[in-house]
Amino acid sequence: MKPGPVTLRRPASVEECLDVLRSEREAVVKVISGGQSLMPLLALRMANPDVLVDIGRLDELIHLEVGPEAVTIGARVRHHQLTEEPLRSLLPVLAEAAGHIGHTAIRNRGTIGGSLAHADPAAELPAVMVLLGAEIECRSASAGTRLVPAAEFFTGPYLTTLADDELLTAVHVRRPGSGTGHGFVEFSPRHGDYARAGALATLSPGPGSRIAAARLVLFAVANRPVDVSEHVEVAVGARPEECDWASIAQAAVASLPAPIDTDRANRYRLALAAARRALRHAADRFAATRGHHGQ
Amino acid sequence: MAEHRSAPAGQEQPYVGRGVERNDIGSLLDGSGAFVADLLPGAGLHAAFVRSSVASAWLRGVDVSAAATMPGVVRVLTGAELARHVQPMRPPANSTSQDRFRTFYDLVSHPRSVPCLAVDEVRYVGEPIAVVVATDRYLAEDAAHAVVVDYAAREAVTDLSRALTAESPVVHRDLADNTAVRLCLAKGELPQDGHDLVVIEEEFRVARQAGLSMEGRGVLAVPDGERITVWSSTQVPFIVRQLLCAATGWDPQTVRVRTPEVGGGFGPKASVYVEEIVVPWLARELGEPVTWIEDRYENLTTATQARDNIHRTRLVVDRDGRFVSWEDDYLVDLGVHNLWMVGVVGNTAMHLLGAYRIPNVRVTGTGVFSNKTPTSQYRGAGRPEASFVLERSIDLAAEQLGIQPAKLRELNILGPDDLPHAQGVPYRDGVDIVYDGKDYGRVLETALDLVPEREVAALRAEAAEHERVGFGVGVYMEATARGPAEPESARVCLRRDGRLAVATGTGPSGQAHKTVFAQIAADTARMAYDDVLVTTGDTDLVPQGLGSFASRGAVVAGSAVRYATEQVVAATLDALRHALGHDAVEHVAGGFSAPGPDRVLTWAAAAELLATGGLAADPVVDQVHTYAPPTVTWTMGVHAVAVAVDTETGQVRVLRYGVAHETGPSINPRVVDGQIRGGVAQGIGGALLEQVQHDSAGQPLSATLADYLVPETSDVPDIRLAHLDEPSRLNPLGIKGVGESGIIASSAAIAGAVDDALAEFGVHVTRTPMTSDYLLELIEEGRR
Ligand SMILES: Cc1cc2nc3c(=O)[nH]c(=O)nc-3n(C[C@H](O)[C@H](O)[C@H](O)COP(=O)(O)OP(=O)(O)OC[C@H]3O[C@@H](n4cnc5c(N)ncnc54)[C@H](O)[C@@H]3O)c2cc1C
Repeated sequence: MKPGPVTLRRPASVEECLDVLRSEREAVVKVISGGQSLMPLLALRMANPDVLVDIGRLDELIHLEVGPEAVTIGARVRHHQLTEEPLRSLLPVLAEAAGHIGHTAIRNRGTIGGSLAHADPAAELPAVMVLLGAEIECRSASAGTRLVPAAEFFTGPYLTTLADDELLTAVHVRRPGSGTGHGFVEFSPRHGDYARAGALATLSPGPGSRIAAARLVLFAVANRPVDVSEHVEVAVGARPEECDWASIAQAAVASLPAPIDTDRANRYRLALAAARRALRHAADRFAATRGHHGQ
Repeated sequence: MAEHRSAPAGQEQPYVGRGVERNDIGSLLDGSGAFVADLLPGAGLHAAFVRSSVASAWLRGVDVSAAATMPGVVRVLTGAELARHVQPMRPPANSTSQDRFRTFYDLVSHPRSVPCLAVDEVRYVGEPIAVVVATDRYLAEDAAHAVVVDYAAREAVTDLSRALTAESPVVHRDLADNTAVRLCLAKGELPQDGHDLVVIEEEFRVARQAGLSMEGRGVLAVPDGERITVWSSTQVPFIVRQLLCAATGWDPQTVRVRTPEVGGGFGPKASVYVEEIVVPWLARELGEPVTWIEDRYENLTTATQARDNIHRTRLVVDRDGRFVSWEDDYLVDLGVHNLWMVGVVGNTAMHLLGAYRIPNVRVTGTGVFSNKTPTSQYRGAGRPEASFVLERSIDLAAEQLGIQPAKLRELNILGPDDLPHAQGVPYRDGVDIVYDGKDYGRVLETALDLVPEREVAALRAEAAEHERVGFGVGVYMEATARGPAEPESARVCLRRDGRLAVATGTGPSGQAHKTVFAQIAADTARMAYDDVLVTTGDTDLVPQGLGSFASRGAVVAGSAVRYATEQVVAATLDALRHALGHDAVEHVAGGFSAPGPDRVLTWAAAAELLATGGLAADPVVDQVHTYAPPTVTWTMGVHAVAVAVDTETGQVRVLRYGVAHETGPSINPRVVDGQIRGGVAQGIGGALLEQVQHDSAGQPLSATLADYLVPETSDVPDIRLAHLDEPSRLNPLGIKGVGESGIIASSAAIAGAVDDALAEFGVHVTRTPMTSDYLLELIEEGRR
């Protein structure tokens, strides 16, 4: 369980890093950030890169910018920072989801960019990005900077649209409208494990305390996060207490492709409970915020 | 710490029975305690093993040519080469199965040797094929990956339910089939079926588990002239020396096996491993220290595993709720080999007798070879399996009879009139089983009080809409400290500085032996606890020993310490009388009284006097005592549990947990509490999470801690304990073992609680672990 021989590169700036990635295009190259997914793979020799590019010196990637419309989070921001202020208030669903990643020691090292680039279908953060309609910033020396909508970024299990010479540099997340209620529910054998199934929901208020926008994303039930928001459309225009969340959850899970094995079938059962509860939590919080604003 | 200093004469308080501070805890907590990997000498060499990637295959070739020339590589050794120098590892001659046991149980056993490195075939994934020695572990692993193994794969034996059929391949080709062990236990007569009887027939499964210790295995062999010191993270240093010498032909006098701190054992480290033979052999061959530290992948694929049973049971109860008869025909998957063969299979049989009046019993136990990782004992070692199937059957019978499960137990449990209770059946040590308890009914009652009905009712009332709360109990017996053929030695020396040096062959892997042995010696010598220095796990220091397993350390080695210390007191008295020319010297608190007004010689003064007065050596007095108990002494207990089950996810939360037990007096109550709490945590793991899985080709599916799930602190509730003391007459300390009490009835009690919680769905748990998938399936069946 020791990694094989590898050349370590430690660029001092993003610019230099992109040059390294371009110049090493012939070799098998891996970026290493928090190492919380990559190190085990290296130790088990399931990943055997020739070159490891450590981005631990790229302080340009630890930034957090809070604008009136959107929040930009640098790729090297650690999971634990996602659970704390100011992000906890700005993006509560992100904070709650990040709190379910592993344990303190893992959250202290793991980074948002690493989690998104790793694209584990059972991971929390990719699902949050899809839920919030985030844009993922990718940069390379050859193609410059591009912004990829989260819904297009994740293409399969551990697969993304990141090119070999590309670095994930940041995510841009639109701030949810005030009064938005969110729900996050995941089921895992123990706290901190990857989810067996999970669901995230947001309900945003419009005039007359009616739901103006509703979103629902399931994860760990397919090879990437699944946006099933179309099944919550029926709630738009209604008050949360009028909605039959159980039926909505049922319809959302029923829309998934037929389960391929008993594991998947069991995940669907869990996803059903997760979706129902996430929607109810979102509805409860929606109601609570509305009450608060009403005063 | 002042209270541990020399008690002044007249008001001395015994240390035994008090929760005195552990004398080893400082170094364990501050990181200065040394485990094998902490001992690595700077200049040593590192071994990495090439291990089989298939479960069953002929070895057509092992090509080490590329590996041999890689950077840092000192030696690459194959099985074929090693076999010219070293014999296969043979199971020790089975001293623990006495003739009376063999005949009474119709014992059949086919122990098999295993090659130290595979020669012409491999029989499980992880089996060592070759070994690379290099200047560091990274380079050794690089080279190990460059060894090319040519396999001709064969069909593997991986399904316990089919391993004994005529179509099954045979793991050991010199045997007719995969039977490893078979034994039968019969007591009374089986009744004819009648209308007035309730018959519960069931099939149960207990999953394979890893006896996961935080520290893996590890060996460091240091050659030293004619001698060699082998440091190993083991529970059984003496047996390591024995099997190492048997395989290599080395003179045991030249081999010293020592255990540093051991970070958990739980049974797998009471096995001996080929790595403990290969690494010392290489060290001698190369004339340099060689180290191998097990990594977690090796730990989860090659350290011995346990459990893995199928039981077919039949419990017959009359309409008044009295047990009439109990039958179990069970299979235990022993993997490719098991050093102790009859161990777990026998323990299961003997513990199936239960804590009840059951007049008629028929048990057949079969150990089966397979192409899975070798097995050994794991904490409980047959007892949890026995408790699970008997207690489950009792729960099912209670349901049929329409009475509370606890009530049915109350009706049948052994009470003061039944105890001591002779079973008329011998234990494995050949001596007839007599439960040396007082009142097991009282233990049941006490356990029920630990998690009282009103509290469970309150939990039910508070439960979320999708949750159901249930209550369950599990009863267990724990035979501890087997008899006459399994002795331990203790050596106690009076040092020139007046302190006592105590050495035992058994050593701790977390159980605070050094503390409790110091308590025993301090009381016996009537000296301060801090003045007793305990060394464990060193074959050079004591003549005889086996190790720490089967809840025997405190009873067997503790008694040896008591007797050896008495010998030291007597020898010191003799010498003092001689030196002072006076017979009136007496042993008193803190030392010895001597003639003259108020003259007390402290131990230090006595030692000094003897040292200058002729006994010039240090130690001044040196005594050894070897002790074996006459037979096992029995701890009995009951677990009471409340759980919540999420009916939409099948997830179980353990809400309340109580353990009441009847055992001997505690040497150190805090140590006993720790033993039980740790056992319960592992019990919860076995009940809900832990499961070693292989696919049908024998590939392990749980080779990392992301797949083999053990409980975390948040999965284990506070554990309530009640101790009911009933001294044993079988040893001078009156104590009984408790090392396994916490784990034995966990699965039984939790299964009972889950059934209770899910009664509306008609759920009957028949296997471990109770994963969310398994319970969801049962709930779904119940909804249909
Ligand atoms: C015990 C344990 C439990 C865990 N539990 C969970 C859990 O419940 N949920 C969960 O989501 N995760 C879990 N993780 C994983 C954790 O979240 C990781 O931090 C995360 O998946 C990867 O982030 P990292 O910064 O550590 O990335 P690394 O491990 O360094 O890299 C991961 C991958 O991303 C690539 N990469 C990293 N940064 C960039 C970048 N800026 N641009 C391009 N490519 C990049 C790497 O090349 C690599 O392929 C767990 C990890 C452990 C050890």
